[in-house]
Amino acid sequence: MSSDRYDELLRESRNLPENPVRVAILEEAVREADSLGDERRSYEARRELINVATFAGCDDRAVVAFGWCLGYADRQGDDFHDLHSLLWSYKWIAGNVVNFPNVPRKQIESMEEDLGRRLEIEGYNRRPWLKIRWSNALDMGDLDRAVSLCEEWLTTPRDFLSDCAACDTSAHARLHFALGEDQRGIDRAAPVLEGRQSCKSVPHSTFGNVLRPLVRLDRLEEADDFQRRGYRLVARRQQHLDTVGKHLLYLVHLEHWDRAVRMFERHLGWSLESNEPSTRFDFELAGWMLFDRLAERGNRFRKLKVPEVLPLPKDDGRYRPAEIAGWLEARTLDLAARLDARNGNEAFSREIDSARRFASGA
Amino acid sequence: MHSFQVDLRGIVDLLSKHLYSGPQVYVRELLQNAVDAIVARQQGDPTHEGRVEFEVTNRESGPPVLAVHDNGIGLTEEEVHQFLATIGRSSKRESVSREDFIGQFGIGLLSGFLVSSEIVLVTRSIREDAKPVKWTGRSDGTYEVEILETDIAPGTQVYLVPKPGCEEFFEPGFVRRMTGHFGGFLEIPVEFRAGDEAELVNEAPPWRWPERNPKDQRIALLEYGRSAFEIAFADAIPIETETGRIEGVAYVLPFSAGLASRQPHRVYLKNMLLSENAENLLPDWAFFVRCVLNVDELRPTASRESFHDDENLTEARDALGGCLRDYLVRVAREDRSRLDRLIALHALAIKSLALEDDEFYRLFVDWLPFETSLGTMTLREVLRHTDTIRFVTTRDQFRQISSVAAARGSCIVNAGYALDTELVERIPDVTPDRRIERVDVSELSQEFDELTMAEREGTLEFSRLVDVVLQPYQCAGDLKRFLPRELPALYTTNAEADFLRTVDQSKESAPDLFAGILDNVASDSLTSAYARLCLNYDNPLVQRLSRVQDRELARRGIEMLYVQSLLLGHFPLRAREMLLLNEGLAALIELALPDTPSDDGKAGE
Repeated sequence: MSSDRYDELLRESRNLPENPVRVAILEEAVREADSLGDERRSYEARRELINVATFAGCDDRAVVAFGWCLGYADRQGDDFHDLHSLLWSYKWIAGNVVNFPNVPRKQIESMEEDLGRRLEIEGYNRRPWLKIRWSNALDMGDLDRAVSLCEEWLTTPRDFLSDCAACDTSAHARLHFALGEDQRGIDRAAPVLEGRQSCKSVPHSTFGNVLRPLVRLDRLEEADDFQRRGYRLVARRQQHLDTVGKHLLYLVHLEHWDRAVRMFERHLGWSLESNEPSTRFDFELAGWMLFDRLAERGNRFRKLKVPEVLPLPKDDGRYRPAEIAGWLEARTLDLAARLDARNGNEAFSREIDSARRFASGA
Repeated sequence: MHSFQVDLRGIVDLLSKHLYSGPQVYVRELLQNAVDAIVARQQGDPTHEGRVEFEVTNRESGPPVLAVHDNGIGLTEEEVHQFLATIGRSSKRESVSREDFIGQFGIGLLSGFLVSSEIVLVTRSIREDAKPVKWTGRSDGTYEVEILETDIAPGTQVYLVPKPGCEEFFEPGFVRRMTGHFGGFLEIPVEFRAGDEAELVNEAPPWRWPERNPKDQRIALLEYGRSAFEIAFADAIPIETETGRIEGVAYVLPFSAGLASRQPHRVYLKNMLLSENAENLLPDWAFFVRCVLNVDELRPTASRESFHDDENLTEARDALGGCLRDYLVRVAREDRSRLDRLIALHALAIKSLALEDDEFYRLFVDWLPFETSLGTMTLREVLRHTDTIRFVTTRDQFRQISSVAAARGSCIVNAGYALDTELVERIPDVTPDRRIERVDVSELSQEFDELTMAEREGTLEFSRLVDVVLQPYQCAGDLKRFLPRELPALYTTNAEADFLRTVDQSKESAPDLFAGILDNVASDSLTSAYARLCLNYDNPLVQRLSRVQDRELARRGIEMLYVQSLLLGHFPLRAREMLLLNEGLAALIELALPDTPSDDGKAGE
């Protein structure tokens, strides 16, 4: 153990894109820092871990690291020097715990309250807190609540802790789509769709979100364009597994079987290693729809390049679509049930029905 | 005097903030207008010899004047009014697009207002009945149009004078440099004049050099690369593609570049410099080269500084990737020592490409280096040691077992590096006759040697005690024989157990609010997560410990071996493990001390 090794690990991690390998290296760095007994480095390494894990699709690692950091900040009190940055990542954490069905509503609410309290103490305004409550409501399928929280969020002015315009635009459009207001959603998303607003994560998810609405609006050429450009943006970014799922479902809708199967093969590994349940949901639901339709069309064996760990009987790399569909169905239904139970509604079950209709060409 | 509908300053502001990278692009825009005019004239008259002149005149009284002259197609009075309308139209949109020749001309001319507050244009169209037109425009939006009676040769002259603060952009040295920078590779002669001096800024780009044999070509290209980028590149790869009609050179970097790095490629569009930092033209894995390329058939973006993301660009990108890939394949076939050098420098890029291209993978995978418990070696060498390629997926796991594996002569691949896991996992897909096996480090002890029946009976009590002592730490115990003998115990975990450990640690530090949340977040992903402590019966200390009668002493010994294994494995201790260490060490020291009293008169309590 030495600080050289710690520095070396940090340096090496910065050479990598944001993916689970980089997260693993940072976790090593955290262990080194802890072994050195150097709280400052322990904080620094975890801080970086939170950033990378959030963008690598490893929200569970991010939450765990964040808990430690917040405790450290509280212990340091007035000597703590990184509060703005830490509160910024608190926004992500408070918006991501909703991803985990085992976390009950009450705990989500207490985290929201805690964030709000800390913002107030530090003199930031309520906009980030309002947005998180809004987005958690949306993610949990509380559409009425989301609608009622929307105006206050948007009319509170921005300060240094608020999300950027691109994030807000993209998020707001999601509400319209969830309400079935396709045209309003597209209009709302226009600055992003036309390239006038963008940031680190936008338009990566936005391009995926507009696919189904554009099809419903019969704007098929635009949908194709956004699918082509949007997939390139997310194809190597694991945090966007859910958006990949939207692209996959779109391909199923268009009956581009080969492309869909290849996309599924390419990203199934992500899904198997992901510990973000609701991120997996969109992808595995789309996969289920894909193999269901393939099974309908004649359940022939297909050669699939999938990870070893897949718990299905394989015949020299060949699988029957019905078996894969069955496996994905079980996982997706289980996840939907758990999420709906935690949320106290049927939003995820309804999404399954909606996806099925879309996948069948509706 | 006429006026635009809008203040030109607003448009210029829009252009400079959102479109252009800096005021210096005005030189490129004027040059582009001149070139476009000449090309347009040559379409009607292929024998016409175009010529562009940039002249800087320093005046005694007053700021310098830059005159740009071309003998191109020129504009009629009507066309002058057309481009004025374009300027007016542009103010109403948020984005700028160059629809046609006249439109492009107008937008290009606007860039002059980045450095000048007044532009004078004198132009005469090649049309027979055309008269020369003089247009004077000011950044406040006012302008005049005059028909001149004197006749001049067809073509266009543009005159600019610097606005206050922009004098540096009119320095002769600056203008000379910029014309060469942007237009040096044009085929149309571009002459720069200042005072008595006149010189052509043109030089031949690599893709127009005369034919040479490959060896000389390579040397010349490398020399050019050294002067253009100030880097002594490792190799020069001539590039030519059909799609986009691209030609140029890709230079192989002489140093390793990171997986996330982006190389600044110098790209020309129809021989005019488009960008020194073009993105999105090459595939993601091509970060080991830096290119100088000329593109003829791709659409630039409105700022003319990168390429429009469309089907053509995608195809061109694939074609460029193909050129680089073919080069690597050729090197693999013809020049093994150069291949080794390439792999040493650019393993990441090559691995990256291999993951995208099965054929390339098959060709290269045997030559790629991996870290193993028996040293760094290629996959081919690994297969000499073993039939099945065994690997671990994190460096942490590798560290846990590499010394034990090495002592047994067992070859285990460390796939815990970027891309290596994916590469190893694809081995059976691409080469079906090879087998791979992922090693679960916590199961490693199953491979160690079992104790004999008699030994097991003799150590039954001890084994039970080990389990009892370790259970509160979510650890299972094992008693085996393994090399190296000096290692009394090996602590191994898997990813899940590791994660659980971090959750515990975090809960120890986090505010109370988080305790429940963290458990719930973790429980979504974990099933069972027991670590393993495997005690080494080949180690003399362990043998003696297993025979100790004093149960307390045995317990202490086991606890200390447990903590020692954690420390050796670089696992940070949880609070209760810290406590174990403190209490255990204190107790052992007590036991070792003779009956010397402490201050309160007690001895050997």
